Amino acid sequence: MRELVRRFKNPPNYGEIENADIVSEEADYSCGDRVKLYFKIGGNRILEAKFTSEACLFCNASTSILLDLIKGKTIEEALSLKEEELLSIFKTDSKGPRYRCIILPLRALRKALKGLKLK
Amino acid sequence: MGFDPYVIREDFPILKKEINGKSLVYFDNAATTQKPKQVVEAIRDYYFNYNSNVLRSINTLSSQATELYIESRKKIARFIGAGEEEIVFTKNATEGLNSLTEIIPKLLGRKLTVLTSIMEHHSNLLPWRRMVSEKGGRLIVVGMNEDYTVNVEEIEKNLENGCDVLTIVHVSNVLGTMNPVKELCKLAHKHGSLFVIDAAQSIPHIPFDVSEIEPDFVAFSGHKMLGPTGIGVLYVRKKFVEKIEPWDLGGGMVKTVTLEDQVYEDVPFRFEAGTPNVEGVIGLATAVDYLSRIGVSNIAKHEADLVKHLMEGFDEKIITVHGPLDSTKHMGIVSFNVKGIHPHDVAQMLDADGIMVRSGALCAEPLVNALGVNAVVRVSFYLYNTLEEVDRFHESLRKLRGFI
Repeated sequence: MRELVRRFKNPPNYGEIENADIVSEEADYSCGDRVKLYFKIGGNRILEAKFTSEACLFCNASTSILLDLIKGKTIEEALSLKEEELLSIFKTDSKGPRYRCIILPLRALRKALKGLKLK
Repeated sequence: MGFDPYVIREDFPILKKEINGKSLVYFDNAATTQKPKQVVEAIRDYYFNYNSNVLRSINTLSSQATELYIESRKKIARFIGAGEEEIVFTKNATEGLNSLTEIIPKLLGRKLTVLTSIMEHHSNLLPWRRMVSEKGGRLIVVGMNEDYTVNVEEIEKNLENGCDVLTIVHVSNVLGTMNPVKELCKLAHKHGSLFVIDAAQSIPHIPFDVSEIEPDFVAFSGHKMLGPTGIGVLYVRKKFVEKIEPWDLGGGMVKTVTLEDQVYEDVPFRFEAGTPNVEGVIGLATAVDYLSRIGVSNIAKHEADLVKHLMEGFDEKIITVHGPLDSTKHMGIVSFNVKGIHPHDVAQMLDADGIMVRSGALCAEPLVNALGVNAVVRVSFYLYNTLEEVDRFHESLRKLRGFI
């Protein structure tokens, strides 16, 4: 927890992207976390990604880490990222108390990129 | 013997448990309460010595179980000043409130104008909204005063314009503030409206008497008052008991059935189709015995002491309390935010010290948003909590300063 606070009190990748190609927002109404993802897309690749949020430390940390993981990846690669990969970074699983906080950015990511694929 | 939380704690084995190497501090009583040995023993005794289907068979075991069941209903009714025929068992307050959106349109035979407030738990908002969207009618949501109670003038103005139902939370599960239900009931009746109370957070904590308030319907849950989960009560005022239609049909609620017709059971049994939650009813009756022995007004007094101690210990530079700053206005519940730290993170850091609280939108999102936040931390007390535990809470909270 303290380690998380140290690393993610001001999380990397936080901020908006002006003229973003995609903006995706997702919220978990049961706990009150809300994240907004911004993407710059070039060809089939994610060139840049940032986020803003009203969220807890876990959700912010997870979002920050997730964006590091997918930057430079193709849309397909980003979509193939599994929940478990993110959860294992936090040494937890889908039964953990912060599951919903950690998974929220992944839900936002999938919402954004699946929409893109449809286009 | 006077009220002593340390003596009471002996009846709650879970309070001896350790969490993260620390002794458990349970401050999430508005979500659900812990169960005393007496309640668990009563359920065990029922299953080991009396288990049988009630109100059906003529065998001895069934008669004994039925007697326990009927006796339990009497106790639970007495606890809120009601007649036994006015008590309908449900699974919880939520089910009771949902049922009313079936019961009242049939009772009145028209599309309803329903008046509720921004202070409601989702269970007293969503069912009414669905009813209006499916059956027509209108749902009006009134606001809150500066003292964090419902706006009575706004309610009266709407009642004057003609409403069928006024349904209001008694004690807010977020703020702990108490709405003036007796006054609201008088107003509703004066203007020809029915009056419904969501008493899930009041009946466990403060004396509650239907003969004094005179509401038409009241919903509450057993698990928030030392009883087991899966049992709740819908109180139906005597003058409506014979007039309302059963909403669930099936076994146990009819006297005779032919292929063309049926004759319903007497009240309140006609409202309880299917094999009832006998263990739940017996467990709740035992909980009610326990609360009566301690005295609900003593519990209220104790919770007031805890709230006072809690609020006095808050550092106002980093803590924003939602609701009145006067601690006597919080019925055992205080919600707050810590500057710069998300409520979930506060809850997790308290958890590391063995302290259980709730964080989030507390199933009352419109209210939490009206407070200008999207989540809060909530502390909610009950009879077994102690001033020492509040001190431990403050000690744990002080550690957060390093993170701000």
